Amino acid sequence: MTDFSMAEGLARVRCRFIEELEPRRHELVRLRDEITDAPLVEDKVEAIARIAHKIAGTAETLGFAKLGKVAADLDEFIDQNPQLGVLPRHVLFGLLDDIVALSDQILSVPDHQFG
Amino acid sequence: MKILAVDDDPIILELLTEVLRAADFENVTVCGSANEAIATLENTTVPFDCFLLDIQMPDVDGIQLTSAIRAMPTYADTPILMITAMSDRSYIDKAFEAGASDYITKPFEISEVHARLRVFEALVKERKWKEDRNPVTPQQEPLAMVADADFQRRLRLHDIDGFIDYLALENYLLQVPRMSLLSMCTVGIVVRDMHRIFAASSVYEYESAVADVAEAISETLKPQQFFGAHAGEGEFVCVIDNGSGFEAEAFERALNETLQEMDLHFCDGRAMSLQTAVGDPVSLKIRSAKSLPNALVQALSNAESTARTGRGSNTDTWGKSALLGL
Repeated sequence: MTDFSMAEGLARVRCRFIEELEPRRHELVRLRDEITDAPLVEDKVEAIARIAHKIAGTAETLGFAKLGKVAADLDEFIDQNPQLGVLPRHVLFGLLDDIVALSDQILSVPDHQFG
Repeated sequence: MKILAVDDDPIILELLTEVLRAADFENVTVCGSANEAIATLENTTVPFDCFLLDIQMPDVDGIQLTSAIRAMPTYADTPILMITAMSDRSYIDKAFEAGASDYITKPFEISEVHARLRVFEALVKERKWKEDRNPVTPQQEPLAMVADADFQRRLRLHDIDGFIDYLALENYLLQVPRMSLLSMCTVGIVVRDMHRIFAASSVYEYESAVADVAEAISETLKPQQFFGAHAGEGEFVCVIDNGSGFEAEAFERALNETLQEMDLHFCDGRAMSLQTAVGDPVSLKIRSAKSLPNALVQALSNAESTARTGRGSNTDTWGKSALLGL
């Protein structure tokens, strides 16, 4: 396989990542809103971790290093705190907001600029 | 090479497919869950040659899937590469304990995945070549005498607590976080007079004896945390956690007592007396990543030296070679 066809293949996956990023971002915002003025419910925090985990798994390889780093930080932060109900809110919300802001930046760029 | 990739993230599966295709690995099957993977394995007619597995998946995770794959006789030796975001030491330990051959953390470098798969590809080709040239039927095996090729072969001892493949042990060392290495050491163990002892053994007796020694090593090292591997012939190497206080002489004595208590015999009833020599430990601190696999070789060399000339004659014990960057 040539470098060109590999680049084409990766560009296709990058587009799929961006398509998938939109619903993932929406889900993160929804979960953040649900826990903003409420107790940290474990299954909601776990759902946030699952999304962050998935973003972290591919973002950097596909050229979105900053997003990948923040998502990995959030995933690790939740994974390493056994008591999800008492997570420091400012860290959790800070990382969530960073992911949402970076996702917005990526989603605001026209598709053809990634292809 | 026929590859099965398992991950619950469809984007990862697409990415892996592209990455593998770029290295001319075209025969790739993907599954979105461990259960789907197990169903695929049960229904496939041509076995897979290699697995790429995520760890964190809902229901059955990648570590449980690794154990399930290893329990299938067809896949006892098949390379398993974990591709996961879990970089924590406990996940790495569990993955290798379950039978993983290697471990890559996400996000991964494409060239890194290619390099690991090339190693596996060479391994798979070599195994197929050997199988084609020297097919062994179960009926022949117990009667056949130990040949040089059998003697040098590194046996798979997955059924024994703490034992993994030699290649997996090398890869494990490369994955362990640097901080953990500070307290780890490698130790080599050699069965004395192995050629004489095994010269009259059948393949079955030889392999049983190797498994018995591994069992004795595992029992004697407990409850210490360790990974061990058979290094071919009558040689073994272990990576021991919290090994800074490891005393080779005391361990050697305890190991030989354990072997004596096991009261081993050949198939015809003759007693099989196995005595081991344990080399001085090799510290893993101050080692560069490139030199880590050399720590296994150095440990074996120390054990051979102890077996040849007795204790205290080793030239490299705690870290001289490490300081020299070997």
